[in-house]
Amino acid sequence: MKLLNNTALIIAFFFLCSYNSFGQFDLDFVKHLSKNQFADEHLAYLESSALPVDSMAYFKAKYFIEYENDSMFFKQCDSAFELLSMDTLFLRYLDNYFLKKEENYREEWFIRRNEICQKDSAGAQFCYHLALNPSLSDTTKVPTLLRDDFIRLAKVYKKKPVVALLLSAVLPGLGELYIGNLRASIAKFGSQTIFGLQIVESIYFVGLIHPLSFVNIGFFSAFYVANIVGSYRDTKTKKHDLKNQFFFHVSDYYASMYPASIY
Amino acid sequence: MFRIITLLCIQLQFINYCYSQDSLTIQLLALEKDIFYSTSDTVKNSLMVQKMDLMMKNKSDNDLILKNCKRIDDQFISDSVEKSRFLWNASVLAYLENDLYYALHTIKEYQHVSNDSSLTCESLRFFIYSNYDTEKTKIIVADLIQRDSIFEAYECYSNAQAYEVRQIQFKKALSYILPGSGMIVNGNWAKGLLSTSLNSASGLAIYYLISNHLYINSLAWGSNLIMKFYIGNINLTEKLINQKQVFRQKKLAKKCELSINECLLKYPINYKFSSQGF
Repeated sequence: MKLLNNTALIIAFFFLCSYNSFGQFDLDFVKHLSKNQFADEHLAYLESSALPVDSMAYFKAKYFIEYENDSMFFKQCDSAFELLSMDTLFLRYLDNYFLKKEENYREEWFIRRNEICQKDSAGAQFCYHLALNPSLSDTTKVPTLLRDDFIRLAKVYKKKPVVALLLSAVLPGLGELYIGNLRASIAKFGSQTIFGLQIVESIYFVGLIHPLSFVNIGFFSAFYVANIVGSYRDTKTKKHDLKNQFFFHVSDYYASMYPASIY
Repeated sequence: MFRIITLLCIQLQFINYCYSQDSLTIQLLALEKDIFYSTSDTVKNSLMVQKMDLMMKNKSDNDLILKNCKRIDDQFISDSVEKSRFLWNASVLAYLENDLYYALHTIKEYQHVSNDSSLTCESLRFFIYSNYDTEKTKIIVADLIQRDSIFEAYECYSNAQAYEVRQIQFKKALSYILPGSGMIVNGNWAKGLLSTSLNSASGLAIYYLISNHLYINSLAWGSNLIMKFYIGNINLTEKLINQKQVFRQKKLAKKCELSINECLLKYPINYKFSSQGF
């Protein structure tokens, strides 16, 4: 009788255990939750699953990437290093994903990516490292479809903002020409020339001590200074924009060429 | 000793189980699991309706409920009462989430399934149609007023939605001919007069430059000032006309708000829940 009571208690215990947990982890169900974007249910399922620490972190990392919570992804990343290194499809997805993200997240990911897998001598990770310090001699290492972008980036990357600033001070529009903005260069040179001609004309017809001459000189000076500062800023912006554009194209290229997915 | 430990464990598990079942997410997850593992489409859809009801009862976000709702294929809901209840809830939800195309589709289906011509149903139809079909809205309002005069408030709302400022084209044309006059006719006296004076001053300045043989200056300043003030006057007139229209519409709608609230109190548009529960 005593043995029977104990058995009954043990059965009751396991019965309640099975109610409480959701049983075995089912990847297909996770995929289903992910496909339907049921964020709350997805997280609840992961938390209710009896997974080992590294697997839990691995699936949570996937979950946070899916819902674009990058900082939480990085928190899970440390515990899931080993599993991540074996999941090539997800690594490729992450490369493509972070190439389109803000610079700080992108940088953080590729530092971790190197720790996870350093072997990559081609692919998005390789292109990322090439673009950090682009050189025209590396052009052949980049896939053909991405070469034009890379060459443009490498050419602009050598340009120094201070040089653009000085050139603009010498001749308005020359700084823009230096960084390859032909249209902006013509527009700036043209507008500055017109202001100059206005000053000459007003001094010739109404004299230097006249409100019109003062206004013209004031506008000329303001535009001259703005052009100089603008050239300095444009050089920095162009470098940044071309880099981002290159990363976007790298991401799209590798996403279309090689399979990559979260699950 | 063994029995005490086992009993404590059972108690712990039981408490844990009870608390976890209180959580809405856990209940939704359990339903989603049932949906995923069920092989019959009828059962699947019935469970999805249950999930939608649970979310509505617990006041989950409308966009999440609508996302669930859109998965449901009403062809697989065999019970006509359940089906009409689902279609009604779907149209209310879609209207609240501004998904008017889906709202229109579901309310049509609902009327087809349930033959409901109650004032509440017509009232919901009015709100859905009032967003894009003026003629249909007028017919619905006329029918509603015939059945209960309290719905005159809807006519007021409908008129407010259809309100248009008078002489829009005339005002725009005036701003092209005499800068600032379009704004003055629209009722924006200060802005209109300022625009007229700025454009006149620009004209005078250009005239002064030309008369002093300052042709480069007249061309440069003229093109800049005209672009700024003349084109600016045209754009600002259009913007002010639109602002006036929106302002008037809101003012008229505000007048009807109180009476519409009375209508909704008398004929409330609520979700319909299953009497059986689950």
